[in-house]
Amino acid sequence: MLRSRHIPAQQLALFPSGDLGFWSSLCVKKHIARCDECAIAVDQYARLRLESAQAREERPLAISGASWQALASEMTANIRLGLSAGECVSRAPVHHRRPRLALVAIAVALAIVCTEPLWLKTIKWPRATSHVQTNFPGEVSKNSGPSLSGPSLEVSGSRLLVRAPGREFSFLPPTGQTVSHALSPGGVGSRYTDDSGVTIVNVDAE
Amino acid sequence: MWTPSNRLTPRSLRLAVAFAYLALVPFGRAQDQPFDPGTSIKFNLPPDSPISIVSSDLGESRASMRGGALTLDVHLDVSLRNSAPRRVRGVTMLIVSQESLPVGRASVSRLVDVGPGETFPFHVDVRLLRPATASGPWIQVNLDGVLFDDLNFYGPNRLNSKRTMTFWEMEGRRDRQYYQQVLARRGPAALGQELVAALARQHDLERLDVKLSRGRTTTALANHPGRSAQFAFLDVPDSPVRAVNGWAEVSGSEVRSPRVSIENHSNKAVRFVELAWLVKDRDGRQYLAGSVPGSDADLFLPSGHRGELIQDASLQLSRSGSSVPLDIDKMIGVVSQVEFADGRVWIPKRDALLAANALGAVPPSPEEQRLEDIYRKRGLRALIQDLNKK
Repeated sequence: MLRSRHIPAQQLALFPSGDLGFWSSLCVKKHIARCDECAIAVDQYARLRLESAQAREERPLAISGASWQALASEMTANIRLGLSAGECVSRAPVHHRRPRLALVAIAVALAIVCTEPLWLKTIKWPRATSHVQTNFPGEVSKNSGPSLSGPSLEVSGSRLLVRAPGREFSFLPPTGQTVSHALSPGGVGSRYTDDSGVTIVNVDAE
Repeated sequence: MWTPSNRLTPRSLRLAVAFAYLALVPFGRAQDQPFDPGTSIKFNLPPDSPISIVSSDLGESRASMRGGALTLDVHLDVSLRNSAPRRVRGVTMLIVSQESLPVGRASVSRLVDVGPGETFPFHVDVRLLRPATASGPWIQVNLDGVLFDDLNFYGPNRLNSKRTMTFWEMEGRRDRQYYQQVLARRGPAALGQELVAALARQHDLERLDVKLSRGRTTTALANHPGRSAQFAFLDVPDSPVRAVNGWAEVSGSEVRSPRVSIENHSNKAVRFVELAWLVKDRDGRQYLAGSVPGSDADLFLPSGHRGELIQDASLQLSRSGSSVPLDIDKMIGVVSQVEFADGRVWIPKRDALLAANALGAVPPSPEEQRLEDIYRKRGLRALIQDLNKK
């Protein structure tokens, strides 16, 4: 949700007299162009400045130092009072803090995105090799690999799963197919029918 | 006014997360890789195979690295042609992820009716997880067997697919013939009633989620030794093998090591027996648990002799889609398949199953399931059209 920011009252007060820096003045100018509240405040400060100027012109030519001090004190107090009152009714200015941690996170993410073509090439994929030793066509050679602890079979809903440490085999029937399961010799079987026949999948757990 | 600070504001945190996501998405995508048809998959069909590959498509198959393991999502569409002069009734392929190590092997059987020169589709949808360091093609597809309409068989038969497909074919012929007779003798309305009754039987027989662990006990049984529960048996007339007694250790929803003693009443030696298995809970509801098979390699039961069917496994049963545990009260067994030493097979006749009140105790045959599916999806007319085919 967007929250509107208001220019701090100090900057609004200095804007009519042109006492703000170039960029600050530009920001205030852009802001009051779209914010009625701040524009009214600027208008009031401008009017106050004008009245002060007029009052300065109308004041007695000779003002003793003590009188001037008293007048200055009163004016300062009034200005501070006005500023305080203005802060009470206006929204608290939003101080945008630039978090260092978030900047670091953004920088890291950008670095990853920009260097993606380089590090993607370094990933080594296990290569599927076409050579396999066979005893005769259709037979695969027995592999004396490490023996696995007993696998477990699970039938749940339309899913059929065989699990062993580091290995897994599951059957996923086509979407929308009614599947039935049954324990079968050596494992678990699932079957489903379609227009052209019946498919039966048996997962071996031996 | 900007002031430096170490605190993360919500806006800047969101911005950082968004950038991090954008950075990681290509990284995550880099972990997926499509299958390379040249090296990822290998088809092993003998030169004299009666079926040949017309085309194959790996489609949306993907491989992804996760940790030190390779996950393969295989979606394989193969078009096969019957190159033999006879009709093909079934094909079984062995799907292997890494040589012949366990857990990485499955068979996919396709029951069809294709004439010489005709083509038929063959789908494989499996997910495999294997160590990333394993060598060789990711997937090997080997022909295990082809069954013809005259019940002759071709293939290495490593998975006993000859026996399995022969049983399916025999059961399919039995059920198809039954429904054709109903149509011929009693008409379409009666046929519809029979299909409705068949669907109701399946609906009444609730399905179970099963977790099977071979050769070990599950935690519950280890901590809470159960009771010894006996099997009750439904005697099917004309069965060459009779179940004499059986028991298993039961604790709540877990069953361990079911054992059944059988007797061969035929005049031929028997080498394979399968027992369909139902369980009943304390509320009287029946569930199809599967089958208790005889040991493939070891069973040899001469005529007049007794033997044992043993399943060295622990099964944890639960109702599909329910968190309420199953409390097993009774177990019921029915002899559903017998193979003799000479290769001939026996299955119960439909009338015999009806007489033994066992029609709902055995799983429907693939053919019956296919006919039910036609009736359910396309209606009675489509079913009649299918039954009228020769």
